[in-house]
Amino acid sequence: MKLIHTFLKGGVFPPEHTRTARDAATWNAMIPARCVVPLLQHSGVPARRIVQRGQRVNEGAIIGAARAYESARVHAPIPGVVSEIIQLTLADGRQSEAVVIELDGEFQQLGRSIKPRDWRRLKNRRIYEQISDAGVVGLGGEGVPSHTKYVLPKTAAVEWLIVNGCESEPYLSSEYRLLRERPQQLVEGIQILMRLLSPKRTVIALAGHTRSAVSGLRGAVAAARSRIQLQRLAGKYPQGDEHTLVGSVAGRAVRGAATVADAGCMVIDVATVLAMYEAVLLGKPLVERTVTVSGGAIAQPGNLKVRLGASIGDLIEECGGFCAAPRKLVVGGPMRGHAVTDLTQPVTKLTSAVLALTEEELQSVGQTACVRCGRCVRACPMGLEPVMLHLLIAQHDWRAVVKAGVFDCTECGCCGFICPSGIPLVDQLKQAKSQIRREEHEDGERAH
Amino acid sequence: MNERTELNTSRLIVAGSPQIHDALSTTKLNWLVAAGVAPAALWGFIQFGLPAVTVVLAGVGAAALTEAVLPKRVGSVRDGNAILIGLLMSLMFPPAAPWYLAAVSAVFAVGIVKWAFGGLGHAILNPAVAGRVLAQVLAPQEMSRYAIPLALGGGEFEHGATAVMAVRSAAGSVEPLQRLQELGYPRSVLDQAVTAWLNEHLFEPVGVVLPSGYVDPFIGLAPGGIGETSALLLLVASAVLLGRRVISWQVPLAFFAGFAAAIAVWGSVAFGGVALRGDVLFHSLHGGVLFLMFFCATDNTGAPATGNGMVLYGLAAGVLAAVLRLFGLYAEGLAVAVLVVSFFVPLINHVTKPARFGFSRRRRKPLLYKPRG
Repeated sequence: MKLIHTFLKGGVFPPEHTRTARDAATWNAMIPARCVVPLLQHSGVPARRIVQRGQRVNEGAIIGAARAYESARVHAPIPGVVSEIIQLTLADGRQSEAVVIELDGEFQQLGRSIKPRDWRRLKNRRIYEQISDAGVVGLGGEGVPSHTKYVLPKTAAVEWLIVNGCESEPYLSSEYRLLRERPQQLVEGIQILMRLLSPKRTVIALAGHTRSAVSGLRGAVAAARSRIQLQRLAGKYPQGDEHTLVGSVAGRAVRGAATVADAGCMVIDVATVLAMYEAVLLGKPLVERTVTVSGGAIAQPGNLKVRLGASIGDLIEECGGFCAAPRKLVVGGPMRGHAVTDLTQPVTKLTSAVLALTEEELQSVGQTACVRCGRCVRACPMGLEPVMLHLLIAQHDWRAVVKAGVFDCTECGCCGFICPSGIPLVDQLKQAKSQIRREEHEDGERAH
Repeated sequence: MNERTELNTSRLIVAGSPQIHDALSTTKLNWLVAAGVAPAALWGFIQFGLPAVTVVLAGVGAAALTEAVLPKRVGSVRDGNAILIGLLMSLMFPPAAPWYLAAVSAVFAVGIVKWAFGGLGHAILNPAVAGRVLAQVLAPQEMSRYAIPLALGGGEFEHGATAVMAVRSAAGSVEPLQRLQELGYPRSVLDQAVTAWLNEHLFEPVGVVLPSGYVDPFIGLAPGGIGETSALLLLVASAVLLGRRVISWQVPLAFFAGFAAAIAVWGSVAFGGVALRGDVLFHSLHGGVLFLMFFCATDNTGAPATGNGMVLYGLAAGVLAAVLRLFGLYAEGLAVAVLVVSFFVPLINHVTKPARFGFSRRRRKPLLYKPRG
C-alpha cells in the first residue's frame, strides 16, 4: 500500500462523529409542501427574480436568472404557485430575496426515468451551457458558480484535476455516501470534466473515513477504463480544503489569498461532479442536494436527499426529531458552519449539513486571557500566527495585520477550535478582514 | 410540527465558527498538570514525612493566597494557575527547607514574576522556576540540605546531600556510581535485588552488565527535591499528559537530547575523566532533570509558540542545564537554565517564524503563484 499523504503544516483532529449517519443509505426526504427558495444560493451576485406573486411554476422552471457572469440560475424545486416574495436572512448572515412556492400541480421529472444523453457527442461549449443552465454551483464550499470556476483562460493549462472525496468537515458523511452509492456516475462525471479541462493527471482524493470507499471506486474506474487515480490521505482537518488538498495531493503550496487554479490545479467535490453529471446527461437543474443531518441531539442521524427550499425543521423532523435538548443548531459543518436559532431556515445549495449539537459536544470553554501557548500557531495550515494577529487586531494596526497575512486566512477554524483560552480568533480575523476592506473602499471613494 | 421538534430557542447559543471546541481549556490544562505531579508529590510525602508536607502546603497556600489577595487582572485562583505554580515550585524544594522560605518564594513567584508583569499569560519567566531560584539565592545553605528518604534510614548524608552533590564535592573514581559507593552512599536492598534480576534475565544474554545504583533513583529511593525523586512516577505522568496533548513533545524531547549530548561529552571531564564518557543515565535519573523538562520547561507561557522554536528552546535549555549541573555553582541549580533560555523566547519566536503556506521560507515571498487581481 502506498504511504498515506497529508499536508505537513498545522491541522487539528476534531472528533469525526460520523458513525451513526454514515452507515445508513441516503434516503429521499419527503417533498415539502412549501419551499422557500432564496435567489442568493451561491457566491457572487444574486439571481434576478423572473416570477411574480401568484404565478404558477413547473418543477424545474427558472425562477431566478443569472444576473451576471458571477451568478447562477435558480430553479423551482417543486411545481406550484408563487405565494409570496419575502426578504430573508440566510444562515451565513447575507440578505436575500426569496420566492415562496406552495406545492400544487404535477411533477414532470420526479419518478420518471430519463434516458441519459451521450455527452461525448456534445461540443464543449454546449456542455458549459448545460452546466450553467442547470444552475450548478460548488456544493462543498462557498458555492462558486461552476461555469465560472471550471473554465480556463486560453493560456492556462490544468495539470491536476483533483476530485475532493474528503469530507470537508467532521460530522459530515454525505460525500462518503455518494462515493459508495454512485461511483459509476461519479466516474462518468469526472470524464466529462477531463474532456473540458484535459488535465495531465486526475485524482480522486479520499481522506479519513471516506478512504473505505476506495474499493467500489476502483471497480468503477476500471470499468470505465479511465486513467483516474485514487489517492488516500490522512484524516486530518482541514484535508478537504482546496489549499491543503492541493498541498497533499500535488505537493504544491498556494498561498491562501491565491486560487489553486493559479498553480494549475482544479479542485471539485464529489457532489458537484454529480450535479454536473445530472445537468449534462439528464438535463436536470440543480433542485436537490444531499444533506447530512446529525449531532448528538438528533434521534436518527442520516443523509437525506432534499429538495432545495425545504426547511431545516422538516429535515430534523424526518430524522426523528430531537432526542436531547440541542444547545447549538448549525447549518453547515461544525468548523465553518453557522449557528442559527430558526427551524424555518431553508436548505440552499450551500447547506452541506444540519447539526443539532448538545452541550457535551460543544465542549465550549469560557473566554480567558491568552496564555501565549502557541497552539494556534502550530495548528494553522496556512502558516499564520493567529496569536500575533490577535494582538495586532486589538491595536487596530491594520497595516501590520495585512502584512501578517490576514488575507491568507481561509477561515478553516483550526485556531479557534484549539485555543485553550476560548478566544474567538476566527471571528476576530473575519471582522478584521471586512474592516480593512471597508477602510480601503472608503479611501478609494475619498481619492475620487 | 410534532413535539419532538419543538425547540427552546432561548437555550440556543449563537456564535461564530468554529461551532465546536477542543476538549482542553487553560483551566483544564493547569489542573491536569497539577494532577500529573500529584503522585510524585505523594511519593515525596511518604518518603520525607511531615517536613515535606509543610513545605508544599506553605508553597501552594502562599501562592493561592497571593493570587486571591492581589487586585484582579486576568484569571483567578480557580483557574488553577497560581496553585500549579506553588505546587511545581515547592516540589523542587528540598524536603528539609524551612516552610517560610517556600512561602516567601511563592509570594515572589505569583506576586512579582506573574502578577506584576500582567498576570496570566504575561509572565516572561516561568514563575515556579523563578521562585525556586530565588530561594536558592536567598538561602543557599538551607536549599542545599537534602534529607535521605525514611526508607533508607532518614537523616542526612555527610558528603553533601544528593547523589549529584556528593559526586561533585568528593574525590574518588571517575564513574559517578563507583564514587558514590566509595563514599558509602546509602543504597536499598531493593536496588541490589532488582539489578541482579535484570542482569540475569535481561542484560547478560546480550552481554551487558547494569551496575547497581540505578534502580533506586528510578523508583525514587534517593535524596532530592520533594517531587523530583521518582523517575518512574514522573515518566508515567508525563506519558499520560503527552498523550492528551497537555504538554508538548518538542520541548522535553529536545531538552533531553541537549542534556544527554552535553552530559555524554563533558560528564566525565568534570570528574577528571576524558571527554565523551559521561554517564547520561546517572544524570538523567538524579537531581530533578525529568521534573524540570516535563513539567517546568513545557509551561505554556514560558515556551516559544512555534514548533521549531520549542526544539531550539529545549535544546538550549538542556545543554545549559547539563553545563550548570557539571560546572555551575550549585549542583542542584539547573533550574536556572530554564530561566536563562526564557529570556531568549521572543528572539526564538522571531527566528523560527513559520513559513507561510505558499511562501518560500527564506525570502518570505510568495512562491510561483500570485493571487489573482
